Amino acid sequence: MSVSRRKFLAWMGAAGVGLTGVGQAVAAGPKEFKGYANSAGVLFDATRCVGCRSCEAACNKVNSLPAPEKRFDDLSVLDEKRRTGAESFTVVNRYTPPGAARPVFRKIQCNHCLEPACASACFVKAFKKTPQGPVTYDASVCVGCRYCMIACPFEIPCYEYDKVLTPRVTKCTLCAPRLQQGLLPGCVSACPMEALTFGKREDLLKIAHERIRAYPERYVDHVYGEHEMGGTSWLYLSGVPFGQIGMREDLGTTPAPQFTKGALSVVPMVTGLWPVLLVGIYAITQRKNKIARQEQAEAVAAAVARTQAEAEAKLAKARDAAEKQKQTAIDQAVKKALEEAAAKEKSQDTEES
Amino acid sequence: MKKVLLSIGVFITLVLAINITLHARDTLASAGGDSAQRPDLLMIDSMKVFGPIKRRPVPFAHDAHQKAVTQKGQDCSVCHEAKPESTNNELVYLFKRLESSDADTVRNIYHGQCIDCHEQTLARGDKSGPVSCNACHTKDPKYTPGQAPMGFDHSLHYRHAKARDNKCEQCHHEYNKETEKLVYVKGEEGSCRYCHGDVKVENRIPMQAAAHQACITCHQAEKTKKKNSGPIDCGGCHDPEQQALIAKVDNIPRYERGQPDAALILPFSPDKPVDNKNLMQPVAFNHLSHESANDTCRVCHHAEMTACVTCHTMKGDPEKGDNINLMFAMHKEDADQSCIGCHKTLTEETACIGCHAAMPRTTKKDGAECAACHTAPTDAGTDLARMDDKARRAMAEAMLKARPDNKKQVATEEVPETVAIDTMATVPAMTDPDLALDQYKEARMPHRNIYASLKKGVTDNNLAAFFHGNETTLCQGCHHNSPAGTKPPKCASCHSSRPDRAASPLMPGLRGAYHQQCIGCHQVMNIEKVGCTDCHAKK
Repeated sequence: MSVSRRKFLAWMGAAGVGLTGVGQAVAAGPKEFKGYANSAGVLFDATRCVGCRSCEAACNKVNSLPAPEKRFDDLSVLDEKRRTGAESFTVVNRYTPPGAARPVFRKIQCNHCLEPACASACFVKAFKKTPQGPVTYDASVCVGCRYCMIACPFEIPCYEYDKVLTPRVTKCTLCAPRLQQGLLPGCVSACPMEALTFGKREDLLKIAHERIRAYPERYVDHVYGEHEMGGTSWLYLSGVPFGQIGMREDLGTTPAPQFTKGALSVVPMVTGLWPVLLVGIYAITQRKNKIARQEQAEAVAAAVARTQAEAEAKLAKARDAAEKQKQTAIDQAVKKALEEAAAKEKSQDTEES
Repeated sequence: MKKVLLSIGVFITLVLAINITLHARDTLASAGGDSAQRPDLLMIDSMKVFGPIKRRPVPFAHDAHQKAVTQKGQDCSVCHEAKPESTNNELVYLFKRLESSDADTVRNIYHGQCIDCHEQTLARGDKSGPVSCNACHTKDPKYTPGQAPMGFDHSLHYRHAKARDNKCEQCHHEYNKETEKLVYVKGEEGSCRYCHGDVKVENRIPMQAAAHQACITCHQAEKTKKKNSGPIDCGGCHDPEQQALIAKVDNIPRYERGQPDAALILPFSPDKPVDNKNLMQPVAFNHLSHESANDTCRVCHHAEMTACVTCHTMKGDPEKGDNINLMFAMHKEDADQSCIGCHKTLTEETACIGCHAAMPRTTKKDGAECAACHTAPTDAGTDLARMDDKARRAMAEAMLKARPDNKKQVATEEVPETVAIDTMATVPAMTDPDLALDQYKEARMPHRNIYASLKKGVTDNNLAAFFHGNETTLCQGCHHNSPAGTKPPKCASCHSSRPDRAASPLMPGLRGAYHQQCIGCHQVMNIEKVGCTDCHAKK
């Protein structure tokens, strides 16, 4: 049996597709994770935020981050669109939506997804969604691959590129250590406008919807983060479409891990299947070689036997001929001797006579 | 050698790719809606009345053509024909025709006349318009139409009336069906929109054509007589910048059209009186004050100068008034013409929005709110059902006179001068060791100044004065959701330093309440003080 390289790859491909299909069927099953019950979250209300940067200052303090280039009461930084950095876990940006009477501010930080993309991309499990709400990071196991940074749909995790020996991935911790002490997250505590509300995610959703119900003309009828990417612990209210304050509206409601679940579910299959397959192929090859060797040996043996037999027959024939010759010679010699003896006897007789 | 050739090839491919990308971006940008707007730009799509148009509409800069024609010493008749029956050389505002008869004729008029003129101009060596198909029927016009709506406000009407010596008949007319002629009827003057709608109906030309024919013909005639006249170019009326230059007259005398000073809005149809003591109280409507408070009659009257109930009948009429009954016509919150809709919109003015932004837009449907307008007749024995129109008007006037003096407010000296907001120590965040939020001193609010300023806003405006009639209504802008009075509860009485979010989802905590109230109001009233140190001194 001969298997070409092309055929073999085609089989493997077909096997892979088949397995992926199985994985998706599992992922789309009736089981849906709606977040841990009673987990904490924060509701950000863009109609209340005045862009004072108190949250940024508080975040900097509670996380003992280095002092920024410009002081936190310097609002000129709002002139540009900033993003989170290794030394700033949260930033507030100013937006000027078309037709709006005033600028609108939006706070950016880790959204602490219910099913985080960073955690699903991390192969050492440095990221973990805790039942309390925060998505935590364990620097001790992190290998610095930065897959999390690529995976995050909100582009939140950052990397300490300037630390040569101990670089870490950085992002908002939802003040997990403070929560354990019974304190509010630093930003929530510091916000003078109560634009940030801390609480159980379920309660926050109720509060958010209640605000929309009570002031329908003030809000866009949508709570951002309720369903985005399968839901996030941070929730947002806004008076202008979320796209106008720099928030992605194209994310859909599927949790990030589900996008990779199908493909990743093949990994154990592949890791399990490949050794078996390769060993099998090896065994088949080995067996084939063995049989060939056996056949060859048999053929050789047969040939040798045949030659031997032929030689023996020849030898026997030769021996027979030699024997015959010998016998003939003996017979002739005997005959000759007898004749000689007879002649001698005759001559003696004659003489005697 | 091969390597050199390869790198040259790669370079050429890259340059080509970049060029193509840039070109594609250019095309997209010009095809998008970001081309500049011009008030004189018309899209010639005259063929669309004959079915789907085959070529793209042609952008036509009217003012540029008008200027070119004038420079040559020609007038509008180069492009427009006069109405044959007209005595004052009234032009028809169609290009080179009196009406759009059939597709071929209209197409030939445009193609023949436009291209002809452009070619002749070119032949003379002057700057001219395009002569090829796609240059006119372009897919990426440099400009798009952008005409600001134009209308007659009281000021403009007064200026015209004065200039025409109050000869109303020069503009206002009615159509007499029997004689089939336009006639003027004194006392029946109305808005042009009364008859001239968006599209032509029978022999009534649309509003757009009517306005342009009447206005421009007259302006043109006055200009010829070297008199001061209105614009005859597009921008003169439809460019927002030039609109702002139109002179406004203050203290305009009232229209003389026999309109009432006061009207009684009845809880039944005036022609079908209902004798029922349990009906809603009537509303005495101050027509006089509403006339001067608004720019046009159209603001309330749509087009017809008739009583609301004529079209908005008690039950609604499918034939007129869009089947909207009187109750909805007066109370619909999202309608510009309804009482409540207009009053709500007015609360969004800078002087009002500070307090009103915090309130839900939806009206509280309680008795007190209704009783602000629906009041009992001054004479208890009044029988509205058996009164004639004159008596009802007299009653309305009496009721308006009997309204209390709404300009009375709490005396400025009686309110606290300065209020120190020093209750923040109870807010947990203030003592958070990690945050060090105690860097600011207490805020000292100039309470009396704020009150005086708001009070002035209310008493200076009749409408505001009426709806802030109760002495303490104004106070409730800040001291909300608690019984009205001169000794309101403290903010901390309701707003807790440790708020229960789940129990009262809408009520902010103490610190949030202060900041939301103060900064929220400063923001919407365009008061610049929104920074931390504007209210708090640094420690």
